[in-house]
Amino acid sequence: MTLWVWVFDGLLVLLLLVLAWRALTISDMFQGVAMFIAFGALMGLIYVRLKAPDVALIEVAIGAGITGALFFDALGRMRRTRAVEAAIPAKIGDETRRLPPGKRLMAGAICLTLGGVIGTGVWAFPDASERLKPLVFDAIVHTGVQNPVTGVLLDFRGYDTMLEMGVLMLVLFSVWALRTGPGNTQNAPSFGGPVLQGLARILTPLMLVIGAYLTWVGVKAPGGAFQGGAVMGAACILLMLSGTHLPVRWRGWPLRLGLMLGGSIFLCVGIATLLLTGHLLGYPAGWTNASILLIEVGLTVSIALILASLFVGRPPSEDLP
Amino acid sequence: MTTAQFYIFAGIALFGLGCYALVVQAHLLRKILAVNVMGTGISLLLIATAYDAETPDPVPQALVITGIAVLVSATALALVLTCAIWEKTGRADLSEGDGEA
Repeated sequence: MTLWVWVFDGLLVLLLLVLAWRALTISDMFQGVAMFIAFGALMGLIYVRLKAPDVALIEVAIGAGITGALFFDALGRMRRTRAVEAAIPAKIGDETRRLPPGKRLMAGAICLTLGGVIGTGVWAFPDASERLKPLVFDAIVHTGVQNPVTGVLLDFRGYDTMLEMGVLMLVLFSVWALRTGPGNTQNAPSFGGPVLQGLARILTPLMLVIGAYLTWVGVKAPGGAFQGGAVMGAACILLMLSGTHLPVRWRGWPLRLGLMLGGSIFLCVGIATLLLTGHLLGYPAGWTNASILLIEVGLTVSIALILASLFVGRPPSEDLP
Repeated sequence: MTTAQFYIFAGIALFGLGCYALVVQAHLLRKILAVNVMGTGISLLLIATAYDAETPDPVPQALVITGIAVLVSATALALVLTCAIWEKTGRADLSEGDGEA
């Protein structure tokens, strides 16, 4: 039995490395990005094999799905611009110039050394029983959640998650400030035909419900706010790709309210707990489940809107019909 | 060699692959792809150190969830910058001459 497990592991890792290598070196970058998406899906499978289903959900939804969508969007814009100028369909990637072989050998040697340094560092890790795991499992009963990852994310290390929301907001502000993103292509004809439109109509309510369920069930099973928010954000991106746009009424303060909902709820709960119990995000006993759920609802809405807004790239304009 | 060690090696190999591609490739989109591969490699490394047959360690898993979300937002920002460079200079690598405002 264990031999077959080793064969399985070996095949997974071999496929992983081959996909990564091909994604980075293939000359047609559209194929490269497609291979990267497959690479992300395979990583999700490996995470499940390593008993990390929450991470697998996030990797497939965000690492493979949304990252792939962002890359395809960027590639499509670059191809469009160049084709308009040169009137020939350009194969993106032909104009790369690579380093001469001497420098490549040096780069390879440096990367090998770097890998060796990381390896020796990881080799010196203390055993799992001397790390944080026993502390987590001793204290998990006080959080009221059964999923230990959600407990770590939103209770033990809730401060990190709050700052992470700040990072996401900061990146969105930077993207908006640049004002060079693709924007809501109001003037582009809605493409995809009836298949995409019909699929978007069927899938969007399903994805919204699945996202809400993932957030709700994250307390006791694999799931959580990030996973649910990522699925909902993917639903918003699907809607935008099939031609539906946010109504103008909702582009002003409602959109901005939704974007900051997660971070501000987190901050308000943090300040409230600081005043009540003296510890930032130290939930009072008996209120942990309710606080975590409240924070997660805000996080889900915000993450979905932030991911969709990152995909659009441009701040919402209020003068288009 | 245990399962965890095997996947630690795989994570390091991915990291080295991404690092090499980051240095060697000239196209900006490929560089961003390489950074993503590096991040995924380190995530695999962390999850492999958290692997245990009965109950995996949840702290590295939470770290990796945070890391993946931050990686996607950094990728989005980098892609917007790359498209801006493409529109302004017509090239997607950083070899444009000096003084190009």
